[in-house]
Amino acid sequence: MIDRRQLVAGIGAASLLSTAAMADTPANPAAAKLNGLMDDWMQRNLRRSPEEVTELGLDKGALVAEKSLLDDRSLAQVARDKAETARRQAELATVDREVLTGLDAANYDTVAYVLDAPSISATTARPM
Amino acid sequence: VISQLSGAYLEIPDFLDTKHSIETRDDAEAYLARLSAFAKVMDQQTERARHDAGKWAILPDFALKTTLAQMKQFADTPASQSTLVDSVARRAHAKGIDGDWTGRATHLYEGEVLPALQRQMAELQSWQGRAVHEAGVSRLPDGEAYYALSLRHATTTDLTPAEVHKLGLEQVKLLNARLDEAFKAQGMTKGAPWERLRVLFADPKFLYPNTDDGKAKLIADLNLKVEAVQAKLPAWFGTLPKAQVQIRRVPPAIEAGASSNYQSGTLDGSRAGAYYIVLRDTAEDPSWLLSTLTYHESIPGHHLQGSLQRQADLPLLRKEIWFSAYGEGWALYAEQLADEMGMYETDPWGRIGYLHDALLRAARMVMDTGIHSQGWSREQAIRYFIENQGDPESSAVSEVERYCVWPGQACSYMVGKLEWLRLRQMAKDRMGARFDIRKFHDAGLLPGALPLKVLDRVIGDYAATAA
Repeated sequence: MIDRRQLVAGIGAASLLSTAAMADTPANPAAAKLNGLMDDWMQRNLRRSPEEVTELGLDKGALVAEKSLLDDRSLAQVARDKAETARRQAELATVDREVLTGLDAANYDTVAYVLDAPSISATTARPM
Repeated sequence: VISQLSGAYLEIPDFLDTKHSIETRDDAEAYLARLSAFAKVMDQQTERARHDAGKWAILPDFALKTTLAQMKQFADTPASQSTLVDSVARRAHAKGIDGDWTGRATHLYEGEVLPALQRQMAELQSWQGRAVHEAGVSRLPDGEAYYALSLRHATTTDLTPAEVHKLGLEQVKLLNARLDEAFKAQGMTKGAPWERLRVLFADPKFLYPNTDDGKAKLIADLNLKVEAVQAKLPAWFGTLPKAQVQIRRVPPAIEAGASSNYQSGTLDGSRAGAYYIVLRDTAEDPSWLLSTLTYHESIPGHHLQGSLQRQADLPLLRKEIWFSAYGEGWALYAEQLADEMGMYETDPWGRIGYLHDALLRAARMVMDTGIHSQGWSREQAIRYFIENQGDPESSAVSEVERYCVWPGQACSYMVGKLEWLRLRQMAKDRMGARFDIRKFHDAGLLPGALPLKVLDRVIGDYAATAA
């Protein structure tokens, strides 16, 4: 068992991590676009989930304020997550899947799968 | 959102104690801010639970009872004995940060946390007249579709409940035959395999003394197992985990309802990935079950997979994605891999433990689908559990109650393992003499967690193009 969460949909505008450090810019423009989206979504996830920020050990420097917060578990947040998922699906639809190969194709299909899978799991724990 | 397995009431105390680091005064202040926020998020979940209960979903009566019992144990814990209070005070003082941490944490605990918990308990208690005993989600509106979706989500495949049930029954039969052989090799020839397993569960020769020394010896022995398997990794893996796994005891304060688990570390390694083992009572940890548990949680299981995903050249978002079918499937495959790597050559009882745990995951496919799609009762599943693998009734009860509140998840382990094995065989068949197990493992692990259908394509590409 492990203790981690599924990809959480998130909101928030500020850029929290340097994107340059995260992914190399590939020659394929569709792959570059996809990588840009994934970096943006990750930053939004961090803004959405202060607990994730702590799990990853990022609760210092630019993100130190997150260390005083817990994840919003309200009904309003559920609605915001739903809207964020729809927004991400629309953003992903602007990436041309047909020209992606190898790891880029796997990245696309994986995030597309997560956005399509309803978050119905009862817990994020990973028992044996 | 709230059950005996989930909810802020369970997650946050452990999170604050083991994940929220305290090095500075600001960290301790942040802890207190989170302690206050804990009350607020419990209220948010209470409101959500009330909303869901009005719409359709309340827990079955037995799960409601277990959940309320756990909450009561929490609510009855005075501040002077609470880890929530002690954790900040102890760690702040250890760092020489002066201040009345005990007093301030006590004030929040008594004034905010416990009242929010009481409100949550009152909401759950108000369901008691309505909760039914029927265990499966088929009791709910659209329950059949809900379960089919849950199962697809857990397995990342299109397998139907009927197909998963059938696969489970086939694996149960196969593993019983292998257990029978393994027992015969040890001179145990009589009775069904589950009856012979029951003999092992009752045999004191497999138990460590239930003392601090006994528990320390147990952890030291697990470390030796990890060292032994570590030494064999280079023959089986191209890329090796850089970080060393830690083995720790689940803190006594939260061990009552916990199960052994693996927790990822931070990105920079400041908190290492750790395999936590529950050591409430060593009678629950017979040595013949410890080898396979260790290979599952540490290496070549979760720690190896999770470390490679973190090390790989992937966008951060992809380093953090998790699929139970991929990750638990890998960890269960890793249990078999440990056998193939020769880890049981001098550990025949450990090998029986490995087969027992494989049988457990096969039986879960039968029980989960039985409960949620074939009208099995909780009691029917418990009986099946005991008469399939011989475990004590208390383990059977907590396992079955888990399947009831977490539909589909229990099927992900064996579905995932069978897929890893199928893909390995496919790559072997296509590549012939070119097949290299080290490169196969890299090909499946370095892209990070994937839905199984995507893993299928990744391995297919690898088998078609690798030199």
